[in-house]
Amino acid sequence: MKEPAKEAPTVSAILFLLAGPILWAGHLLLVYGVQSVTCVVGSGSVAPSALIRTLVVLVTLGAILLLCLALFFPGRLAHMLRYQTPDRDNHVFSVRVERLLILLSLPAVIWSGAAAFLLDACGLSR
Amino acid sequence: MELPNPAPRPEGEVRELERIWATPRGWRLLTAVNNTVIGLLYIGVAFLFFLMAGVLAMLMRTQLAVGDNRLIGQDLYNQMFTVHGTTMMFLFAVPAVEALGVMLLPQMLAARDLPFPRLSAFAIWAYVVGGLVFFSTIFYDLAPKGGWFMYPPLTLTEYSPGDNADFWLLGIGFIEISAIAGAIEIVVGTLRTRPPGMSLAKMPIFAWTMLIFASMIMFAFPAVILATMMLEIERAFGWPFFSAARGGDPLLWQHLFWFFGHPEVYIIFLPAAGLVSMIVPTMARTPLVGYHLIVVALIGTGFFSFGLWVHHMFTTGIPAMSLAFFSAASMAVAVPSGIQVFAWIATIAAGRQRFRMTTASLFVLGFLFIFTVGGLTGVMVAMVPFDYQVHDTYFVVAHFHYVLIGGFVFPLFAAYYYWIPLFSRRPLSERLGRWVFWLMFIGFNITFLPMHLTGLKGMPRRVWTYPEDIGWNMLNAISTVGTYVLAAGILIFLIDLIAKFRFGNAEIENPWGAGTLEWLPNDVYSTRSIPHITGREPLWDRPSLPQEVRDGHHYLPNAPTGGRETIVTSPIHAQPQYVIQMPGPGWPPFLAAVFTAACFLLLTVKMVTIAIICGALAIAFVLVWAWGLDPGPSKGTIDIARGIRLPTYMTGPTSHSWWAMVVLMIVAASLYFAYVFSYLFLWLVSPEVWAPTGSPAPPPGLWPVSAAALMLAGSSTIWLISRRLEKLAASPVAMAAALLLSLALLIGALALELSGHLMTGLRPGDNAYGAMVYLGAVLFAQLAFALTILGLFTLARYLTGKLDGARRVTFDNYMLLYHYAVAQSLLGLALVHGFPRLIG
Ligand code: HEM
Ligand SMILES: [Cu+2]
Repeated sequence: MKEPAKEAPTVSAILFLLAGPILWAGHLLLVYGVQSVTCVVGSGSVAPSALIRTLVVLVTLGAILLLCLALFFPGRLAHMLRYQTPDRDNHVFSVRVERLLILLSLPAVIWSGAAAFLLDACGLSR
Repeated sequence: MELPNPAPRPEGEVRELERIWATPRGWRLLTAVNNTVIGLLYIGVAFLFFLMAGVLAMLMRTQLAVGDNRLIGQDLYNQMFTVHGTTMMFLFAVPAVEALGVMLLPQMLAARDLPFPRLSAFAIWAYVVGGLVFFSTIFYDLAPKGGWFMYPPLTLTEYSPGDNADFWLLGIGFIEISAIAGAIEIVVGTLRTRPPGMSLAKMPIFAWTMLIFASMIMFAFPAVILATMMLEIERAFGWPFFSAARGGDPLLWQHLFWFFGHPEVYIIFLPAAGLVSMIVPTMARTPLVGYHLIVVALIGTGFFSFGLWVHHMFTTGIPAMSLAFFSAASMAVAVPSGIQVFAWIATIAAGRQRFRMTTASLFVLGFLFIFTVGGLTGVMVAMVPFDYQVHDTYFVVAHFHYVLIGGFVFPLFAAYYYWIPLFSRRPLSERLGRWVFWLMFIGFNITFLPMHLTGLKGMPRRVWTYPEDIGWNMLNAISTVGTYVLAAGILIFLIDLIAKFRFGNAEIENPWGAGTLEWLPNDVYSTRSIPHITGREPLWDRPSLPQEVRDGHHYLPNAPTGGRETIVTSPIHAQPQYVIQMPGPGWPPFLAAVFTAACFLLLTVKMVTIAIICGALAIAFVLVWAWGLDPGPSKGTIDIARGIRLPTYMTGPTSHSWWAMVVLMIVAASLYFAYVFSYLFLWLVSPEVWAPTGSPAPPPGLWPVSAAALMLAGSSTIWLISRRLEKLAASPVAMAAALLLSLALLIGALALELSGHLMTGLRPGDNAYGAMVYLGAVLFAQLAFALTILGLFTLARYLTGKLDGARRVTFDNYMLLYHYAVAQSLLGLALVHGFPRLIG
């Protein structure tokens, strides 16, 4: 082994590998936050309902778009985050983990976003 | 591969290692910090709690065996299920996982020890003392009665007078401390003390699970820390966080508790899955199928488990759409668990030889079966309408025992049978092991399978008895019989354990023929030399490895600094970076833990003066202990292998202490995030008590602006000291003045903030708004308190010549925490002063 080497910053590694779940978490935070705040502030009038629906759909579409970008262009993302893995082993590992995690996150995002079409924005279910 | 140290080693090196790592004898055993010793204590005590809480379970089942039973009264029954649940979750499961981490991680990573041995010792002793006291309250009629999640308003002083509920908060306080300490240890340990060459892609699955476990603790525990703080403050001083009449909301507790509580289930389960992922390949004698998939599944589960907390609140009247968001995540989390189950089955199928049916294998198979059933009922209760039906019935009790016992206790027993040769000269009996397994497995199912039906028939949980003629007798009687069968299995295990366990290493080195590093020749110092890793099953890839390691042909075959040390490597690729010098045995961690425990206890029973004395003593011992750290660069650089010289001292962002500080800051930040959430949540619930209309408006803008200016000035001072540390080393007066100035600025800002609010006439007991405003100041004051101690400590080190431009770890810690405190408090000012103006 050579000199005690420098490697990519750990934060970059975290952001790259966990891109999918991080986007998922951001999405959940946004839709849940927007929906519950708007429901309380607008207290059940009709306008917030439409507003919430639109916002949830928009946020969800945005999240899906970002997830797809990260899914199809991991190289770009890695470059943006300054994350390099010089050896093959770790390269394969990183890209695979990143992609699979996105594949797990995508359905979760779509699923919760779909609620916008199925359910009343602020009403109780019973 | 070329050996790192090909030449024969000189005589006497092993004896030197043995001397340095020797376990203290007699009374001094209490001072031990080595992972093999304190890890054993840790797991032993955790198991003791399992047994004690198990006895409570048996008593409860005895009470429920027949209807209208008068064996145990209602009040005692309430205490019993609360103590049973709390002990199992907080004093058994989480500590047992941490114990496994402390015991196994250094061996699996071939590190001599985890990076902060004394921190582990402290955490463990605090847990032992605090936990035992908590449990003993059941004997004095002092135990809490609010269930393991202690919902207010039931647990507020109006409905739970006396100290009982405070003892719950005390017990949890300890677990919070030791869990956070353990998380720091484990994050830094897995990321920085791996053997050279073990990149992330080669890390054993158990290490992955422990890393995820610790990261989850960093984000989940702060929520419950804040919640318990608020509940205790409300009980002691009447700040109305949870009292609806004054703008609080009991649902806030549920949000915070379950934001912790659901991930908690996975905090327990993931490491158990990690154990299984280590045992299955060994018994199948083939590498784990789908390593990458499993890593992905583990990370995915870790994340998704944070998006589920609301599913415990389906019946609390939250809008349907919010429920749907969380219901989605509840379903999504099932996918990764499924992936793991299939990967294990595939591994079992892939082995070219037959899967070996050891006791450990039996427990793994039992786990697969039970856990799958628990997962299925989990998906059932994740469906909102179904949950409405079975919420708070025995169906739920059955479900979570399937998950917890199947998902944790069975893997844990598998682990006991599998890893015991590492710690005991004689293994457990395989013949008795079958009895243990079958009794436990059958007993478990007899106990809990009928409970599904009991629940569907409508029997609520947490009832001390039921009418005889209501048709629940048969099912309950069966459950009780099952409990005794289960207990018989555990009893046999215990007898076998007492008969066989003898401290020391097994005669047979690698009895199962496993492929991972913990099965290398081991002693108190871990492995003689630290191997170079090229694959995931190093012992299978390179059969000569044990001999090479024993002969010292790998890294660091000796103790060049003359003390305890291990190699620190880079987090992603595990390239050697430096050698860390670690402290040995000592009294301070033990004494600090005992006095911390005493302080909290005495506070609980309101003996304030002695409590404060004990608290001061605890801090004093922490300082004594910290005084011995930060050795400085005096040992220069050393050879760990031919041609590789490493420094023995490191400061700045690569150093382990910097990393520990960052972990601590993340914990503090998530706590603060929970605070911000609570503030906004209570505002949403009770806007009518909020300033400027419902409460006095916040003080004029000059107050927060001045406070902010003071803090920024403080940060700049710190920044200047940091840049000039070299030069300042020569002028004590300037250095002392600068350090004291930074403290004065911070405390000044705190004083401004507090007096500003006091001046407006707002009081914390007025309403939820006042309580939240002052809680923000409390969080600020906590940091200021910690910084005062750390700052004075830094000054003392400097004045005694233990701190300079090169030897600066103490100062760096002060600096990091200081900047963090400023950032947090600035955000706080913006929230507390800005928000009422925004809505006003
Ligand atoms: C060893 C066999 C065990 C038996 C026979 C058993 C039995 C019971 C019983 C009878 C209850 C009370 C039900 C009620 O009245 O509502 C209960 C509650 C509970 N158990 Fe267990 N249990 C066992 C193991 C465990 C384990 C290993 C864990 C966790 C790791 C655990 C966690 C809990 C929790 C969280 C509760 C809920 C307490 C509450 O309602 O606040 N149990 N168990
Ligand atoms: Cu849950």
